[in-house]
Amino acid sequence: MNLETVIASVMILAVTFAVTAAWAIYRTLRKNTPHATAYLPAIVTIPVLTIAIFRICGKDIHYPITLLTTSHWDRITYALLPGFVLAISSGLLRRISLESAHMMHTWQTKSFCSFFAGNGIAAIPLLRTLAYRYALAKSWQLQLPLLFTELVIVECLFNAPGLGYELWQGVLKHNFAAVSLVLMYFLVLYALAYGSSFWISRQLALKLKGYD
Amino acid sequence: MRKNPYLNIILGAFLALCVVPWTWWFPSHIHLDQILLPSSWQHPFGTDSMGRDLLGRVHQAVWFTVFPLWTVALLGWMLGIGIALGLNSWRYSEKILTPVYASTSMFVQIPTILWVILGQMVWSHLTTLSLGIMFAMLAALRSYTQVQQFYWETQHKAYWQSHQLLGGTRFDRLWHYGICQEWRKPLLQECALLLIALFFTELGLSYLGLGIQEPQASLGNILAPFIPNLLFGHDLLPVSLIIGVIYLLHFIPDFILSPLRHSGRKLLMLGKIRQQAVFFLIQRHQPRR
Repeated sequence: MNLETVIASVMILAVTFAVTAAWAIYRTLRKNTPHATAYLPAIVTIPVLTIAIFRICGKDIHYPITLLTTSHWDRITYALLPGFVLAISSGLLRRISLESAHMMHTWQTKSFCSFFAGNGIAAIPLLRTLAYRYALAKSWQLQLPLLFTELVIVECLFNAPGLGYELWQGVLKHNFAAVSLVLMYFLVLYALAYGSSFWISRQLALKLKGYD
Repeated sequence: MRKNPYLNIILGAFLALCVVPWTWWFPSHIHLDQILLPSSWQHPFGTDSMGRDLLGRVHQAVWFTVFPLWTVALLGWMLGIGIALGLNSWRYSEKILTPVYASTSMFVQIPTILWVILGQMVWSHLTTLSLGIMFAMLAALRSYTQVQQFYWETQHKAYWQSHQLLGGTRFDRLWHYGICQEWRKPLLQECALLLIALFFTELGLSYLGLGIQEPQASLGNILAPFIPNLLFGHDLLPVSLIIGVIYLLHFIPDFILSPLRHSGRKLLMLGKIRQQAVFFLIQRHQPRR
């Protein structure tokens, strides 16, 4: 195990974060939101994507064995699909839909919104920026245990040389020294992700406390 | 879910199909002379690499892995709610609530994969029972933290405090105002999400060889031998049929729990009758002027 494995996992997580952020913005901007949001396991989405992309573009979406010798650009492009699949399979997109809808509904019933509406000012555009940030931070924080579980599954299915793949190999080979080393990195990454999401949601909650 | 009648019909039909004991007609015994057969009237989903009927195997996986795991997780979820109600209703619990909540929320944040690795170390081979115990524990911890959080957020509301001033018990408030009314919808939503997440986790882990393994049937380990051949265009039909089953199964928790989420009239009626009885008793015991 080396730093490249950590970078591969971080890249997938970064793409997942970007996808969920885009989804959170879209959900708060759109008036008529769709009723159900996609929430499918990686074991379903990856075979379907594999066949579809291979048939249409003739490209294999699995990570190449020689990825460690390729450029950073290749690593980013190979992380795009795993990140996207991870956003769906970890339930982040669905959680964001729930949280943003709940957030908008709760805040629209507050007295300052009624005051704004009474004076002919639309309060919803003001709420949107707060709603999507809060929904994003809270969903990330709530789904993190499932996100890291799915990260292992997604990395294994895509042959991505990340922490999850190393962990899986270690467990299968009963190599507990390797497992403990990977677990240490895994937990550090998890603690960083959890700490940052906790801090952001706390800051936003403090910011929203003043509104009533 | 309730707004989409077509989906409801499809899911109702799917549940009815799940109830049919397919293994009676399509037993999943090993037949080494019938390896990887395509779908036919004898084997509607085809056969696997051991010559077992895939429809029978899928039925076994649904009945002996997915549904038991969901039932156990649901029981765990209810147990967590019960513990939260009991702890919060107990008069002397104020001192222990914060440390209990802190420790449970810490356990809840541990990723499921780490629990499974721990389970592998303890049991060496995970079965439906051991995985069920872990899932029930996770569900109990999750529901406990959720109810506790809800209680701390809503206990200062005016109607909660007025009920307290009128002599209502804390358990009454927790049950009638919380579980039956205000928290019912988010709790059921959360429960459905958790059941789906646990189902996906089990699928992924058994696919990777970490969860439930052969000879026990799980949708993950049934699907595993077919996936590597997909790029070559082999086994498309059995894989798509199994994927279809997985896709429909993931709607089931929402399908079953959504009626409870939308119509809690009976629970509300019970709550109102009880409330009126409390008011009547209070009025009766008030001193006359």
